Amino acid sequence: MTMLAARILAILAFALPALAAPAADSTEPIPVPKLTGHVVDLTGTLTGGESAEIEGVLASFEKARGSQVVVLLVPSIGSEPIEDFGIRVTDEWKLGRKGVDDGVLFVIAKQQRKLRIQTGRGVQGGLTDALSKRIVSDYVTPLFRTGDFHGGIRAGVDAIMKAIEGEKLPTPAATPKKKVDVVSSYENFFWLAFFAVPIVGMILRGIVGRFLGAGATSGITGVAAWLLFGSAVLGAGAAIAAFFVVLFMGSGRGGGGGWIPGFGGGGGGGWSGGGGMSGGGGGFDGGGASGDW
Amino acid sequence: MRKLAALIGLSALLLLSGCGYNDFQTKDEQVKAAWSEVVNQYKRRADLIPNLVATVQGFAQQEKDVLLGVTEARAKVGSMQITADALNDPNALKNFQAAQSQLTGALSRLMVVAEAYPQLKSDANFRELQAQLEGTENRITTARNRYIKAVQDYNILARQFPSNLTAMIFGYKEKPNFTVENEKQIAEPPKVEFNKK
Repeated sequence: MTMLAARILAILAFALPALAAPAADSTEPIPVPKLTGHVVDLTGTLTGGESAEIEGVLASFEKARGSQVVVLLVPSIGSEPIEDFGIRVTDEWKLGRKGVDDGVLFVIAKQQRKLRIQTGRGVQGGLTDALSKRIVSDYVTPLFRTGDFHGGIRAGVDAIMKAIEGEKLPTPAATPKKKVDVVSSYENFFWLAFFAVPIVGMILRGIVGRFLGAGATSGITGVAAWLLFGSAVLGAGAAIAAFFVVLFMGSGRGGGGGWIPGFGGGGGGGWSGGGGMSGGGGGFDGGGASGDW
Repeated sequence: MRKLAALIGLSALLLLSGCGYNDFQTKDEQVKAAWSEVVNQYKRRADLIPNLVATVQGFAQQEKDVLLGVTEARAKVGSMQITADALNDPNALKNFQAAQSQLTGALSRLMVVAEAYPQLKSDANFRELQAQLEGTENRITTARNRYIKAVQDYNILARQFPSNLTAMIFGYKEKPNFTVENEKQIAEPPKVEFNKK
């Protein structure tokens, strides 16, 4: 009995550290926080008023210039390098406009006393790595060292905005908000238009007759186009076009291929509304500069 | 007759799209795009070097060996171009990696040496180049990670069940990826050692 107990104890002694290890281990990277606004302060460093002030500045900057600059304060990033943490955050948040890539992440890890300005490709002409480094070491860290986080962040944000202003970026209205993967949509569109519709239509027509076949094909096409483009209007247009193509196909009149609808629509407003904030789909390549205080 | 042709057409269509033929094309393109980004960033690093060497030379011309090492490693990297199409050759990738990691090593030695020259360290030009080099090393890491991810996606497709048949028919092979040991070697940014003198 005692031997059994001793053995169990011995097993537990081996097993417990193994079980406890993952919890104590700080190598597990922290999850990417939620993008709630232009200032995401998870440390409570900034007072409500200070945070609102910077938020206001950055929000109006985005309205005027289109570039998304976001400040993120986290208590700790564990042992992960701030560069890696930064790229994980921007991969998820996708700051900046799609195709323009004009987002900037200003991330501060308080416990590690590290900060980083991570720049999207579109702003790197003005906000070069060297300039980012200078902003970090000349504007921000001297104030951080005195404990003035609000002042340091404000100085950094102002310098970042000034650097972006020198950049020739499109004005906000010039870029469409729609987030469709254009390339693959087009590819699928041609696939649908020139192969799938005529073939499916021909078969269905042979089976159920000209009129029903056309109707069925049009229904299928409509749904497919709707799914492809994410727009019910385009779907309906494609359905109607498919109906006529199949109806008149191979009967002397009309002929195939003539049904490409004017591709203007674009349709479907984005879903950017509703409380929080969302990134515009901008990409990051890991450029920027880090520092500590 | 017409129906038969249509039926054949339809089944070919379903076969191709069902077995991932299109996925292969998409993923293959993604791998190529990720690769050109990797090459781009390595090129960006190589382009920084003449300036960097010239600047360091201005303050520390006696460090001939280190400077020569960097220049030679850069020349080697410059003579070696792999296009995305040659990527399927594991040896080509290995050589490319070896050359790049040699340059990484030479650069990190240069940065270590630079630490011994206070005047150089406080030179505005040098600091600028240093910031650019750091940023570029980080871009390389990011580009490499994305390339690794893209190749992974492609290889999974090439090995998974229905699509592996397509891969067999069209002769799509698994692509070689960056290896871990080399990755560690290359991804390491230039380190500064204070105790070495």
